Amino acid sequence: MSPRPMILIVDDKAQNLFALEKTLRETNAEIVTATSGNDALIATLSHDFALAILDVQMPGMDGYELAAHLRGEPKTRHVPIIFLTAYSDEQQMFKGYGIGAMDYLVKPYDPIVLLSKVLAFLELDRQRAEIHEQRAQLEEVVAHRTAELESVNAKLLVEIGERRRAEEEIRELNEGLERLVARRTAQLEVANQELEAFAYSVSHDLRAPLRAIEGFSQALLEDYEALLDQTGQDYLRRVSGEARRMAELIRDLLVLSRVTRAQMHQEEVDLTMLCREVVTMLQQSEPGREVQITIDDGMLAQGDPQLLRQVLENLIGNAWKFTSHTPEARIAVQSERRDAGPTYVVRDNGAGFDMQYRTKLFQPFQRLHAMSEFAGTGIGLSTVHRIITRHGGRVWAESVVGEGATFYFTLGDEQAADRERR
Amino acid sequence: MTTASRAKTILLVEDNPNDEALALRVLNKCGHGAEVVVARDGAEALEFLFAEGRYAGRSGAALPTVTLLDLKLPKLDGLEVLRRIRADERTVLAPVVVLTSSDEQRDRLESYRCGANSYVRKPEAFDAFSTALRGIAEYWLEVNEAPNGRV
Repeated sequence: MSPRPMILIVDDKAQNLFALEKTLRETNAEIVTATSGNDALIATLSHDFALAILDVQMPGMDGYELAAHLRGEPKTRHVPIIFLTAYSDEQQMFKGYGIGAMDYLVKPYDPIVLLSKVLAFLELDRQRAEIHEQRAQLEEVVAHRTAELESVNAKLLVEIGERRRAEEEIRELNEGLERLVARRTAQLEVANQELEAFAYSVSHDLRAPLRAIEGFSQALLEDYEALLDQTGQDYLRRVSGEARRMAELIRDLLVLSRVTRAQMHQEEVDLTMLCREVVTMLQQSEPGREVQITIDDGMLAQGDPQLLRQVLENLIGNAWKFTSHTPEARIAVQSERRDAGPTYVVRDNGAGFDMQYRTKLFQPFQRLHAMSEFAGTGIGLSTVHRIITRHGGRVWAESVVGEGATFYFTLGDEQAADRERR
Repeated sequence: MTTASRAKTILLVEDNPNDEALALRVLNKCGHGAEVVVARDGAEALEFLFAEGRYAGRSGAALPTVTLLDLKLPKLDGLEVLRRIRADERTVLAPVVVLTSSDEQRDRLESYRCGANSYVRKPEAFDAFSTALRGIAEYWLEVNEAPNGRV
C-alpha cells in the first residue's frame, strides 16, 4: 500500500489553519501546517508533498513569493498549488508561474469546493505516483530481462567457445588416432612382410634338406638293399617317414600362419557344394573305402570360400580318417537352426575322443591318438578354430570314445553379419 | 662315342650338391640315354653353352637338348643366365626349363618374360621331385622336337 499523501497548508493565522485542517480531515492525507513561507520551505526539505495550499496574504513572504520558491526547487517544482485569495481578480497573477498544476479559491471559500479540488489533486498525484511506480517497475523488469538476456548471452558465448574447443579437441584426437592407426598399420605391414619372408624361408630353406633326407634314404633303400638287414632297412624307412612327416608339419604350419594373415573375402558360400567337393577328393584318395556320407542340401553361409573350404577339409577329413577302422562308417554334414543362427554339424561314428581332453582339441600340435593308430600333425583343428574365430563364430565338439565324434560350428550370429554387410 | 651319336644332352644348372646328386640319380635311371652335364653356377653354365673357359673348344659346341636352370645361383643368377642365352644368336633358340624352389609370382613372370620355355617348381617331397624330373626328361628328350633338329 502506498504511504498516505501529504498536504502542506500555509497561513499566518492559526484559526485559518485550524479550519483548513478540519476540512481536509475528510481526505486520507496527512496534513503539515506552516505559519510562514520560511516554515513552509523548511517543511519541504523533510517531506514530499502531494499538494500545497497557500494563503496569498501573509506578512513577510507572501503566497506568490513562496510559490515562486517552490517552483524554483527541483524537489517541489511539480507540487500542485492551490492559492487562497481574498480577491477574485487576483486570479490573473499566478498565470505567470506556468509550470505544474495551479488553482485558486476566493475567500471565504466553500469547504465542499475546496475538498473536491483537493481530492482531484490528490487523485492526480496518486495517478502520477502510480504511473511513476509502474514505469519504475517496468524499467526494473526491462533492466532485469536485459540483465538476464545479457547473462544468457554471455553463457551462450562461453558455451559456444567450449563447444568449439571440444570440437577442436575431438578433431585433434581424431587426427591423433588416425596418425596412430596409420603408424600401427605401417608397423603391422612391416611385421606382416617379415612374417611373409619368414614363411617363405621356412617353406624353402627348411624343406629342401628334407627332400635330400628323403631322397638319399630312398636311394640307399633302392641301391644298397642287399647290404642292409631288416633292422637297417626299418631304420631307413623311419628316417624317410619322419622326414615326410616333418614336411607335412611345416606345410600345415604354413597353412595355419596363412590362415591368420590371409585377407578375408566375405561372400555367399555354398557349403553343400564345398562338402561334396571335399568328399569327392577323399574318395579319390582312397577309392577302396566304403563310407556312407549324407550332406544336407542348400547349406548357404556368409564367409570366405577358401577358408571355409579348409574348415570342411579338416572336419570331414578328420571324420574320414577316424572312421577308417570303423565297419559301416558313416559321416553326416547337417545344418541346425538355433537361436544364434545356423549351426553346422559334422558327425561321424568313428573312434571319437575322450571328452576330458576336449579343451586340448583346438590347440596346435595336440593329438589325442597314437601316430600308429591315426596319422596327423595336430594342426588341422587349430586351423579350423582360427578360421571360425576370424568369422566371428564358435567351434566345439562332443564325443563318446568308440562311438564317434560330432563337431559343431557357427559363423557368427546373423544379425552381426547383417550389420557388417550394411 | 662321339658327340654326334650322343645327341641328347641335359645341362643341369644347380648349386645345391644334394639336389644335384638326387637329380643326377633320377635322370640317369630314367633311361633316355642323355648325357647330363652339371654347371654349379651361372658363369659355368654360360661357359658350357658358349664353349668358353673350361669348356673352350668342346667338340661340336652343340646346344644341350634341354637346360634345367635353377634361379638362385651364385655369381650369376638364373634370370641373368637366361637373359644372356636369349641375347646371343648361338643360344637364342635353346630350350630352357626353369627348375626352382621359388613359388613367387614375380619369379614365374620374369622367367617367361626372359624367354623360359617352361617353369617347374621343385616339389618339396622327394617322390614328387623325382616324378617331376622324370616327366621333364620324358617330354624334352622324347616328345619335344628340338629347334636345331638332329645334329
